[in-house]
Amino acid sequence: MPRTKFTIAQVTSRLMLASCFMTPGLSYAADITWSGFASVAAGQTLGSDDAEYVVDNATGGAYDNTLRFLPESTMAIQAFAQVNESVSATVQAVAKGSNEKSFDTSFEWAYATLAVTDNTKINFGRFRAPLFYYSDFLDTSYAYYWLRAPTDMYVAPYSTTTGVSLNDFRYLGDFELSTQIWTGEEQIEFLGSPGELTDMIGINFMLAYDWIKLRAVYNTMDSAIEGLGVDTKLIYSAYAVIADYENFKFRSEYGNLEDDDTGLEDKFGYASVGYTIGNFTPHYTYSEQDRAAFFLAEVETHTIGIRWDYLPGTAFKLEYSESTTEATPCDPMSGMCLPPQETKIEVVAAAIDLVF
Amino acid sequence: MIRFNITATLVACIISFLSSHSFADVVVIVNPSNSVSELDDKWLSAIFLGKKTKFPDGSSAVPIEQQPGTSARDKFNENILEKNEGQLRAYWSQRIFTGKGQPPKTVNGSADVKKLVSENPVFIGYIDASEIDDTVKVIRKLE
Repeated sequence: MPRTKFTIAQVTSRLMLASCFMTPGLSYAADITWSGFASVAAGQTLGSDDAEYVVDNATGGAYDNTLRFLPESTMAIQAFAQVNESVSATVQAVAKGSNEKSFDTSFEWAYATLAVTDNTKINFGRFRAPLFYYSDFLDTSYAYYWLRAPTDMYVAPYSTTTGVSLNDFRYLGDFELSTQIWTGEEQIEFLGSPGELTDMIGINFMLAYDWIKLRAVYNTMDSAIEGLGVDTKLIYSAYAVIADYENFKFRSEYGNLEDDDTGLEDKFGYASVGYTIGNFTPHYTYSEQDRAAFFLAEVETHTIGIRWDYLPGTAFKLEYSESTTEATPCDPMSGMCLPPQETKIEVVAAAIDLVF
Repeated sequence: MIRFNITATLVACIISFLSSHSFADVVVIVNPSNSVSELDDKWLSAIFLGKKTKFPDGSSAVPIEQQPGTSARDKFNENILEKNEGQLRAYWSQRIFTGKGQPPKTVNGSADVKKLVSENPVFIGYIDASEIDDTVKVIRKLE
């Protein structure tokens, strides 16, 4: 993947150097706020075959039948500086393990924010593509009860985009309305072939009232993947319902990706319930995918897990998933398909999540 | 008589301990020059969660928190923000790492909050009721 790679030490030293240069003459810039998070996870598939279970669709991180620590461990540091009254800068460097690299560091967020009004801000630079409810803080797994957001829903082979994003937050009576309009581009890797997504234009609404949040997103983009002969416009839409009623938690998302040339669609979704008892949150999730746009596959997954809030800023998680895939292998040149093959895989993982 | 005195002293000690710690009243304060005289819980919560940056009269509002572990902080968070320390950490981790905002400036305790609020009309904070004096104005009392 053609993204700039640094070690976490290089990133830290660069950020620190940058913060030194910014200090003289700028009264605001002395206030650089450092934050960070980490998640160290270990897991493996159950059973003796060498089938892999992909846990991170952006890095390709996957568990197999050996205990693995790299596929979904993450560490990140973030620097935030208020440059002047209306401009701030945010840089977040995230180091992720995967199956091919021990740790790859990338800038998931690196942007300048211009506050146009108190309610409206414009971000210039590199930011999360808000495809899903959890996209913005997908790496910060401390912020949700799962060990990983449902992989059947979080299927995008990329998570970040470079461009411009307008973010608006306002109260409408007792309702909180967040609106984001963005445009950008991103280099991707899909089914092993490099490609690019350009002319991304999207709009994302979120309405919150008391204990419930509703979200809708619509996004179009041009997709070109030379190796697969793909050159098409994609239309993406998704919806989410998030409820936190006292100790009861409910999350559900549904997404639809359509290839505008062929009309073929990928559909994905999940429904999840959790219940907090003291410092423990057990949860259950059902998720599924129905893929037809680029390949034929149906996936169904059941996940149970528990989050233990050990201390503020530290959580332990344990999770088990059982996933069934029915794939229909097709030759892209001739269009000939073989009979569907069903595979079943179980995976178990444990993690410690920190924020600091 | 001696026994009675000891008992009375003990009772007084216990009462003063309880009133100055676990059951102390907490008040929300602003600068005396601030035109705000009361603030509903929703607005108060929105300021401390970074969702509102203004008082109802349109002037800037900058919240000041006490460090984790003070009884005033626990009481304010439970009553106004309706979040425990862990839930508040999760809330701020969502906002910090998505660039939506930074948590309020944190100081050691009630005396430090009072000093900042008395010096600048943009600040709003909460302190133990026992710290109230005429350098600050009380706009909400949590009992």
